[in-house]
Amino acid sequence: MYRKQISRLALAFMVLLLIGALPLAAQDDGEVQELGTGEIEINFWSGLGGPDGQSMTDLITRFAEENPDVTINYQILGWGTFFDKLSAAIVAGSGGPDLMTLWHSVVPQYALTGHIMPVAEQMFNLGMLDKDDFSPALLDSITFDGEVYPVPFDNYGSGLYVNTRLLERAGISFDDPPENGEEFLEYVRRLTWDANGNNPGDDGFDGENIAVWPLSIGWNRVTVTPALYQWGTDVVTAAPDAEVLIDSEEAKAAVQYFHDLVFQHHVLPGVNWSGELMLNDGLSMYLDGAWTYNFYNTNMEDGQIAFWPYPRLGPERGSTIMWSHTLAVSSNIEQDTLDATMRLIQFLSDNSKEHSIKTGMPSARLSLRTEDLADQIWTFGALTTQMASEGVPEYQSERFTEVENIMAHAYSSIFTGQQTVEEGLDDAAARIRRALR
Amino acid sequence: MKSIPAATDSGRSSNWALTNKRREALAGYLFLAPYLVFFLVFLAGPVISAFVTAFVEWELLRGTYRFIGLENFQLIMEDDLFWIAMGNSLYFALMTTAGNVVVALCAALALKSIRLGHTLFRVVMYAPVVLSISVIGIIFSRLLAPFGLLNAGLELLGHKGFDYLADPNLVLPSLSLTTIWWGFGFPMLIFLAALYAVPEALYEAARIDGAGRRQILWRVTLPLIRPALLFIIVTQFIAHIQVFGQPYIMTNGGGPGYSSYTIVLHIYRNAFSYYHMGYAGAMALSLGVVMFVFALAQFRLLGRYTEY
Repeated sequence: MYRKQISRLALAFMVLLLIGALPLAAQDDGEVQELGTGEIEINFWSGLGGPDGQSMTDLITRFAEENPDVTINYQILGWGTFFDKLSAAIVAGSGGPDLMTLWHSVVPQYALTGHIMPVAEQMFNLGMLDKDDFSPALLDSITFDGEVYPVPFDNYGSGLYVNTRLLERAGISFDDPPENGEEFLEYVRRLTWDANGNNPGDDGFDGENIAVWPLSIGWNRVTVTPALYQWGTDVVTAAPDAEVLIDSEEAKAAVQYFHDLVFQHHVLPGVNWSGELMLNDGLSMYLDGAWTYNFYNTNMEDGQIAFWPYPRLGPERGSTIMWSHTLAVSSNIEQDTLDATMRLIQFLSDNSKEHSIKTGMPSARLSLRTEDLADQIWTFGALTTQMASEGVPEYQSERFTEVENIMAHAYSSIFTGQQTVEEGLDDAAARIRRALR
Repeated sequence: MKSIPAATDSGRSSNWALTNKRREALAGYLFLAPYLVFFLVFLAGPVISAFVTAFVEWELLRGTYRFIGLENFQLIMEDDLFWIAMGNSLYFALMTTAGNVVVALCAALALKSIRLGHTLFRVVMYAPVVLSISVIGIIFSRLLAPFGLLNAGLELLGHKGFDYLADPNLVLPSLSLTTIWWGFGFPMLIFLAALYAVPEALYEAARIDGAGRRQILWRVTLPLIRPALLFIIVTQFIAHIQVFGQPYIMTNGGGPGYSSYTIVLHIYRNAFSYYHMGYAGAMALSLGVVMFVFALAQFRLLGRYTEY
């Protein structure tokens, strides 16, 4: 009897453990939503998740209601495995998407190998979209052999989220953003407090016991790459004839600036800390992309959070990095599906202002970035103004995934002190050259 | 004259017997057929295909496929990441195998000696094995985060804690401990079965001869469970040198830097993120050779002391 009870207890424990694990396992994505009941089927794979994904789902649902001849098999896949699955499906020749979201940076991987078609060029020629309504720099980055391939859906950049309560405590006005690298460093010092309320440089400052960090790196790709532009360089030049620039003296100087923030000034943790620290005033500033707008907008009170353009740190120019989620169409698509897909792309593009309002991601259509949006989205004004004047599209490469992984590891090695800037970037450059060979 | 039909009968009988044997063989093959089909399609086929892949240049997205002999192996020699990843994998596999053997053996010895709650503890200790690496990875990423539960506990004790997954020196030991917690249940069960197979009379004889607990462990128990020990060491090493999920989920694909970058991660990235299928095939073959050599060495080193 006793053994039986123990066995039952053990079984119950196992069941509880498995049930407890279910919510984690249930985070897996990839479920196909069948939107509409029409005869023409469009398989649409999207990497947009969270509020972006919800907004996109809302738009597609509306399109399906207004276009009864079309069914959209809509599948949201996490960006982490999106490109692995996409490439496998493309190569397998079946089961892949007709329409897909692609970062503009990876477009050469699919355009130069003939797996996606120049649908944007076709839509411009048919008068479905106006070529002049898109950023020329962005279009240029997805043009090959004189034809624009995917249609840019949104166009966003990065900047500096600032905790206004901590700005006030430091005696810094929001209307007075840092104008150069030295001023930025001064702000960083003033926005650092130890547990006793001292700033760096004060008598008794305890650097081992920091209560408020001034800055956190969200993602090196977002944080450091714009600085490369400001020193007049980049990781590589554009595909297809890419030249490696990351081991140039300019690149090393740009990365050295951040390295010094970590190891000389001790005001930046070398690892990627979460911007969530800002919610309880543990963090003053957070360099990150436009996508973080929704998180802070939902979790912080009005007026407690604000947005500055990406600060001017380098000697050559001001800059911010620009990206775009583009809508790309498979080369294997049939004509009637293509016609319906172009209608869908036009609908999504025409309604991308609605997407901006819900997500904070500016539309790629310049005419839809209207002034009224700045009143509704607190990142919008600074973001779009800087993108228009100083925005640089991220490098594109036929080997983007490989180059990006190499850079992520290099930055990580440098900012955790495993390698010097010189060693880290020289190694990265050698690996990138090998990858591009 | 009569001998002829007799011979014929005998010949018929012999042919008949042969046919029966053939029939038996046919039946045997038919019973084996489902497994053989699966074996050929899902094991032998892919192994042969992977072997061939190691000698071709196969760029998935570009669609190139051509025989290049040993060029992929020459590329491996020049690829510093292959050697970094192989070194990390070996370090992880040795550390985790050793840890697993010690923890699993201690747990098995403890379980054998207790009477109360034996079944409950056995289930509780085995329970983590049934969880997927995704679940384990997410749980331990949170536990080991700078502001995670483990550091919160250390802070209560007055220690500021560690950055387990971001410190290049701590990251592989942290992943190893996670893996040991996750997987020690299986070797524990093997050890437990081996311990129960040791005749009780030997323990009694040892005690009568005045042996203490430690002597019994070293002189009686361990020598008699050596086959299980060898099995555990070989299979655990082969499993852990192929570590993938832990760095993929917990350290953002092998960070910080390349501190937890493993060989299977490198193969996976080359095959499915960079589409260098031929090169990935060559690395997979090289990994297979490394595993074979280590398994052979383990058999040679431990096998000579093992009685089956």
